Amino acid sequence: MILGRLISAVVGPRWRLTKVSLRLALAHCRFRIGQRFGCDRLQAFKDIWDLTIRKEMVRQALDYKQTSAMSRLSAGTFEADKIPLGCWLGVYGLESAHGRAFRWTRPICRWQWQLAPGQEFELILDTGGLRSPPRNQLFAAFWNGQRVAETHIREEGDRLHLTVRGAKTIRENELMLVCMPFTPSRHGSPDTRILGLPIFAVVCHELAQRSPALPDEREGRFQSGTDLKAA
Amino acid sequence: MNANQIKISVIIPLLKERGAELECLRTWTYGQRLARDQYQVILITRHDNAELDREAEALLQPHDLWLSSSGSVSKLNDVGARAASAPLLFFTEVHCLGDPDCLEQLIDWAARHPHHAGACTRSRDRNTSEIAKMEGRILQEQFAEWSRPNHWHRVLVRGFAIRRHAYEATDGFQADYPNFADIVLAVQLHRGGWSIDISENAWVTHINTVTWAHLLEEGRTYGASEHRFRLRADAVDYERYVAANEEWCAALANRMLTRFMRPGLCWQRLLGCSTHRRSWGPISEASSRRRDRLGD
Repeated sequence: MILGRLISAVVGPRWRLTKVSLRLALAHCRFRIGQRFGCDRLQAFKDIWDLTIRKEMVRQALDYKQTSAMSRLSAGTFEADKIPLGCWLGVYGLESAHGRAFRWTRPICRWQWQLAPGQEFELILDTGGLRSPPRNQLFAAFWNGQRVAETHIREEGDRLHLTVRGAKTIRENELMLVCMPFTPSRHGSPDTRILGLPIFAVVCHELAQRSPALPDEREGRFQSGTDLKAA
Repeated sequence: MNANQIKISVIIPLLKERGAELECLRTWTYGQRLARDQYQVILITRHDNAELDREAEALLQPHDLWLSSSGSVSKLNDVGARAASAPLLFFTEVHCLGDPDCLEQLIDWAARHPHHAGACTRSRDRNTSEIAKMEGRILQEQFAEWSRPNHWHRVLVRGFAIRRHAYEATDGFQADYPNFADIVLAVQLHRGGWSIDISENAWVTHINTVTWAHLLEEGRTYGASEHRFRLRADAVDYERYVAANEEWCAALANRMLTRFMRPGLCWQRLLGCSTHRRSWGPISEASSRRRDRLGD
């Protein structure tokens, strides 16, 4: 795994395609020589099918060019299971905790936004208390390629608040988070992923306006960030 | 002929694939026990093969439909469905042979199960190569899973009947996602509360893939379709049914990050160094302040 990451760091994202291609070639070998050496040929056949699909998906992802059709988040409240994968990159699959859906991000993740040009916005990331305190887990945040000032990031309970300004063009806004990596397998868990922050919900609102309620507040379970942490 | 007499429309995209196309088509045009005026056959062609087109068109009767379209198999299926006049639509493939009582059984099923929106048929395989046998075994395993009560995945294009109003309530087979469109439709039906059954007495015989080249091409089309679909805004709603594979998520994230962080600049940005400073020291208060000014 470490060797794979090292190669990935040097070679770049194309390594992912090479890795799947190698696994596919191995599956082909297992299928072809299976009869002689007693390999499970049916399993090899399944792997060939599965890896062919994966390889094509990875290839498409690496060749993917962002188009205007790509979805972006606008101002509002979005729960994790409602945020399209196309505008939220660098995340793992959907999970649930405390009855709410969430996703773990990778150590580096990125959102696409469509916001009014020149306006100030507050972005609130609800981490649901799975990795607290969230501010300590955030190494840096970048807005449109520029690092967000420390003074523009604050923590309220399990939520991170970031103050940002909309770019000159409505569709150009990007938030990138660089988190302290967390590897559960180093703490006795069978989970070998490298995690960033758990994200339960994302809120974006113009600073002149009142903050819209987060999902839990709407349900009346929590009154404030402090209560959320206590819970 | 009175259009109300037609009980079921059989929709078949006409593609030159596995060599037994006419044999398969004849089982639908002439080989059914159901009276011929009670069902119509709809063939949709892309004009890929003039000879097949000519011979296939000759099998049709006046109340059948011969349609032309372009694009993916899903598009052809959808074009056929939109043109059909029967209340029950039946999708099958040009490499599937229908049992003589298949349509009769489906009509019977539709009458006995008015609460179900549709049903897939049972299928047996005709395997002419080792690859075909493997494909058949995999489908049998999967079908055992899909046969569990209330399973969502019952849209099998080798034999799938659906009431027209249920089909029209969804987006149908979507042209942009060939090979993945059946999954999208299955999820849409399930999310919409439409129940899909298995018609145990209706059978088709599926001629499985013969060559590696064809199988791998199918896999690649599937991968490309899934990639396109996953980028759609509402794809996240489908993730509870079919999880997005991790490698794809990681590759997409990697791709976007490398585009975003231009080479040579990324590490300096990440470590908090300015672009004209060579040292890669920790983030200092001063550099942070300078970046603040630059950034805001």
